Amino acid sequence: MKLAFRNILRHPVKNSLIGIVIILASLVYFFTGTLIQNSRDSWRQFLSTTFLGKYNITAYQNKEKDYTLAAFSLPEEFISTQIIEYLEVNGINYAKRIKAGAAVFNEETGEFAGATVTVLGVDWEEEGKYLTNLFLKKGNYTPAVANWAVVWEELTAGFGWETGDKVTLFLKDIDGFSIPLTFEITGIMANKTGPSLAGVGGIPLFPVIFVAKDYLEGSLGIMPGDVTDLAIWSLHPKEIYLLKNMAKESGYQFFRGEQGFEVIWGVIGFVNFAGGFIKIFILTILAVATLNLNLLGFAERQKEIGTILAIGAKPKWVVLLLLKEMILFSVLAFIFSLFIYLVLVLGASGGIAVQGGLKLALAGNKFYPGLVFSSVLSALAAIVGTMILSSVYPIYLSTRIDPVEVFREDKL
Amino acid sequence: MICLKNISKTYTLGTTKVQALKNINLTVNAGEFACIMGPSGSGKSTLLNIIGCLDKPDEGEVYIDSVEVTGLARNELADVRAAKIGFIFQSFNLIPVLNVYENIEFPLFIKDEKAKKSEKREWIMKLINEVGLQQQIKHKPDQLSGGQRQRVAIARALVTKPKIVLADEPTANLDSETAGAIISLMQKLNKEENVTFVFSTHDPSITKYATNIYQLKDGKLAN
Repeated sequence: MKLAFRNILRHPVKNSLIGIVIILASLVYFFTGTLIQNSRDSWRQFLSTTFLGKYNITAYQNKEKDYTLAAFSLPEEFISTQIIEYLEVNGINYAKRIKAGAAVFNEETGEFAGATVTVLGVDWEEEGKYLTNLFLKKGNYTPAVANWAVVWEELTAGFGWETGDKVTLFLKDIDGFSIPLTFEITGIMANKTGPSLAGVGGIPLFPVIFVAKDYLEGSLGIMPGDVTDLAIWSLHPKEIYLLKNMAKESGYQFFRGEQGFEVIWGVIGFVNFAGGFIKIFILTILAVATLNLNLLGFAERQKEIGTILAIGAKPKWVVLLLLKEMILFSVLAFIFSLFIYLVLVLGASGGIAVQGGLKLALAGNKFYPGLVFSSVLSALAAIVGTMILSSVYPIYLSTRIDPVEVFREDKL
Repeated sequence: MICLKNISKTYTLGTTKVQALKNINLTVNAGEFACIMGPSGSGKSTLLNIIGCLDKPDEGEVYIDSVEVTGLARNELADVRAAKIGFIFQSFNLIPVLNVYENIEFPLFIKDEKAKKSEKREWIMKLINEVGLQQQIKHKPDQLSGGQRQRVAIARALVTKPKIVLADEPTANLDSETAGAIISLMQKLNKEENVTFVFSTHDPSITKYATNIYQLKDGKLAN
C-alpha cells in the first residue's frame, strides 16, 4: 500500500488533473442525486398535502395504469372492508373517497365540453384536516347544500365557472348508465404553496372537483360506506408494506401519492437524463485521461516492473499493485470530493432559491443540497469502475513485460 | 548449486538471429565467488539470465540447487527466483519512490515473508550496516551516489537470504575505485553469509577477487 501511495505522488500534476475530473464527476453525481431527492420530496409534500394523500389504494375497473385519471366506470368491487378495518384498528390516518371521471355538459351550447374532469366524493370535514396545502380562495364548502362542489381554480378559469354556478356533469352510475348530475359551485380552491399545475402538458393532472361523498353515493347507486379510493397519510414502512400486500391480494392498485403524475416523473426523468449525459461525458474524459496516464506510466515504469518481476514477483502481484494504485487514487480523490461537497452543503444550509425549470422541478421550494447515500455509492462505483476499466489494457501490458527484454534495452 | 548442461540459446534482434550461447556446460558450487568474464556480446547476460530463471534455454537443462528448472512455468520460475536467487543489476534498478530501508525490505513483501516485523527489521538493519549505509537509511535513490545505490542493490539481493546472488556487470557504471569497493563488499558477504555469488564483467581488473573465472567468447565457454 505504501508503494501504491508513493507511486500516486510520483506525478503530482498529472494526477491532480485526473483528481479534478474525479471531483467534478463526483459532484455531478452528488448534485444530481440530491436534486432528484429534493424534487421528489418537494412534490411528495406538495401533492400529498394538496389533494392526494401520501399513499393511495384504488379499485379501478380494467386496472388503468394512469393513477391520476378517474375511471369512467365504477368498479364492480369496491375496496374491501378488511383493508378499512385494518386502517381503523391500527389508527392509520386515511380518508374514504369515491373517485370517478365525468364529462362536462355545457347547457348553453347543448354540447359536451372536450375535457373530462375528475370528481372526488369526499368527507370534507375529515379530509380537510390532511389537505393542509389547500385553501378556499372564494366561497366555501357548504354542507347545507347537498350537491355542493368545491372546484380547483384552474378548472373554473378554464370553463369560466364562478361560485353560485350550477354545472352539469355526466357520470356513470353503478349499472354503467351515464347520468347527468348537477352540482352547485360553492367554493373555489387553490394550493397555498407550490406552483400551479395548470397547463402542464395541457392536461389537468389533479382531481379538480370535490363533492360530498354521500351525495355521490346516493346519486350513483353506491351502497353507503363503499369506496373506490383510499387516501392514506401514514409513512410507517411496516404499515405501508402490509397495506401494499393486502391491496395486491385484492387486485387493487397501490401507489405513492405522487406516482403517475407525469410532471414529477418528467422532471425527475429530465434531471436523470441531463445528469446521466454529464456523467457519461465526464466519465469518458476520466477514462481517456486515465488510460493515457497509465500508458505513459507503463512506458515509464517498464524497467521498474521488470525489476519487480525479476526479483520474484508474479504477474498477479504486479496486477494487484497497479489495481491498488488505481483504487487508492480513486478513493482518495473521491473522499476529497466528498469533503468539498460537504463544505458546499454546509455553505448552502439555508437553501438556494431557484428559478425557471428548477423552480418547477422543486415544486416552488428552495434547493437544499444534501448527501444522498445511493448517489454516493453509485458515484464511488462509477469512478472506481471507470478507473479500473481504463487501466485494464495498461495493466495487461505490464504483466506481459519480459525482464530480459527490458534489461537488454536498458543496456543499449 | 548451479548446473548447466548443454545450454544453447538463440534470440532474434530485429530480423537477425543471434546465437548467444552454444552448448554451455557449467557447474558452480555452493559458496563460490564466480566470475563470468567476456567482452560485450559474448553472452554473459544471457547466461546469467538463464541461471537466474529469467530466460529459458532453447536446448539443455538448468539445475538450481539440484532442482531442474528448465521446464517450469512462469509463476514457478518466479517462486524459484523469490526463494533462491538475489539479483544485482548493472544500473542498480532501485525503486525510485522507496528509500534505502524500503528498497532493501521490498523483496520481503514480494516473497510475503512471514517473519516477525522486529526480526525483519533487525535483519535489514544488519544488512544496512554491512553495506555501510546507516547514515543514508531514509535517502531515496536519487539522493545516493552510484556506489551507494549499488550497495543498496547488494543488500536488497541478500535480504531474502538467497542461496545464489547473480550480479550482471555490477561495476560497469562505477568508477574503478568504487568498483573495487563493491566487489570487495560482495566478496565479504559471500564469505560471511555463505552465499554463492556469480557475477559477470568485462573488466579484467576485478577478476582477481573471484574464486573461479569462466571465460565466455562468442557464446562458448573456455576454461
